[in-house]
Amino acid sequence: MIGINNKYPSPKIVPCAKCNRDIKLYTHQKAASFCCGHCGAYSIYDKQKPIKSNYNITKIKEKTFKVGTVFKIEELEFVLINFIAKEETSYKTIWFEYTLFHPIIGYWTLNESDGHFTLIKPSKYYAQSFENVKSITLPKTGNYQLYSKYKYKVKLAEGEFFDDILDKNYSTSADYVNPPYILSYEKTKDEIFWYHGEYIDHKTVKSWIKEDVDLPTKDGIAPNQPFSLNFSQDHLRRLSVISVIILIISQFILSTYITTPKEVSSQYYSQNDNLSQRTYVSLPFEITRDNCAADFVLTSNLNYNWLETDFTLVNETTGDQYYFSGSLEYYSGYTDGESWSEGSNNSTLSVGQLKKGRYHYNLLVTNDINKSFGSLSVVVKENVDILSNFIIVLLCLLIFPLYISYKRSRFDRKQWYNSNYSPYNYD
Amino acid sequence: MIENNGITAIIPHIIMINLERVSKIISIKGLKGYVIFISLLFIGYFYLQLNGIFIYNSTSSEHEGGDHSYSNSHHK
Repeated sequence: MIGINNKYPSPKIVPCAKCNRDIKLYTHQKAASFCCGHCGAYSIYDKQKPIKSNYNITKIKEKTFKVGTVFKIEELEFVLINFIAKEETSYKTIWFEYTLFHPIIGYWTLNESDGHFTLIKPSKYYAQSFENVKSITLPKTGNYQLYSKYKYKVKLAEGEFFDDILDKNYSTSADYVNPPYILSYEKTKDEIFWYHGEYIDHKTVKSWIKEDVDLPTKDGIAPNQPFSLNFSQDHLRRLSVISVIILIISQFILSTYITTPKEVSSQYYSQNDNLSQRTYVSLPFEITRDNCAADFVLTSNLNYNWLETDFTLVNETTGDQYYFSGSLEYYSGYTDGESWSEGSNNSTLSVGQLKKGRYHYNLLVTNDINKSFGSLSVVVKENVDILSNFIIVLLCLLIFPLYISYKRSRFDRKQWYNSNYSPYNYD
Repeated sequence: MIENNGITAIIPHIIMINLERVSKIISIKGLKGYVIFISLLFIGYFYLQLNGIFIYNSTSSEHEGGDHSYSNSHHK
């Protein structure tokens, strides 16, 4: 029988103290106890002899990996020596721990909780006073926040163990998270063990084993699950800030040196008939830049009145015609001791893509037949800035980072939902 | 001469350090698609601004005549 590979000794075979079936001990005399995968009998292994314990741990039927499976992690071959299902005593949540053994490296643990995997290694971190500590900073991986404190008991087990697993029942444990990392301690009556883990995705777990294994479906968000982006959120933030700054500078340069508005026509119209419609023809004016936008600024002195304007802008050089319209209305009064007003006596109509040339416009003014509109001033400015384009491009630049930021915020809130130490308020 | 050689040797080193710093600040690892989007957005922005074209114009306008026509409203 071959153990991990042909470089290492074969596993030691011992009989189950209850059903007498063969049990493989890959760690030989390092095994302190074992649990039979067939009958569930738990035995303490003392002085090379299995001693039947009074405990009978539930026989394991449903598990993701079989004892004896070889995992190739970081070019090292580990053998799976046990499986433990632990239950948290307060909320009765269950997670699974698979212990991996390498003769030189020692023990690593693959933790499975709601379909999420974390590879856990013994940590060199040690703190003398930690029981009330809510955050821990490690030099290489940064700041860890307290996520949970709990006690557990073993519910199911199979395989060999380097200590008496029932001896650890009801020990105090705590998890500190800094996704994808987790720092945990387990305090028994005699010892404190510190562990450091890293979140592992399903693809990586599958790449470690030769056999095709169906991994459990992920449920919810693990405490140390990283926000799934294939880029750094900090880099996105910096890139967006730099882009916005460049856009603002570009707009400033365009406004200052290129799109410099110039008044090319200013005309004044007044009503001297009783009709509801009349047409005015403007004096000709010159548009001096090709492909520019122009503003038609309308100003009136309406009061409790309205008017509608229909412009036909004619390029006398090319014959091009531009049709556009707008309206003005203004109402004001004094009601219940308060003065109010609605509408405006000013409006700006914009036209784009004007060719260089000589222009005039025909203006059809429609108004209330019972009221005169008084007067209307029309000022034409060429080569005006198109601020709406700037605002739309700015919004386009911000949409993606804002969406990612929103998603991240939702993810974090959801991730901390099950923690008693959440920084978020869920009311 | 010795000083000049020293400066000549130091300048590429300084450039390398600064390039590394810049690449750390504006790293585009995993963001190439977004960088392409930003580039296209800027090209479009300059094209529109320099040609007096509105992405959105609150004034309903229509153009007829010459060799082309456009409209951003229903014909009256």
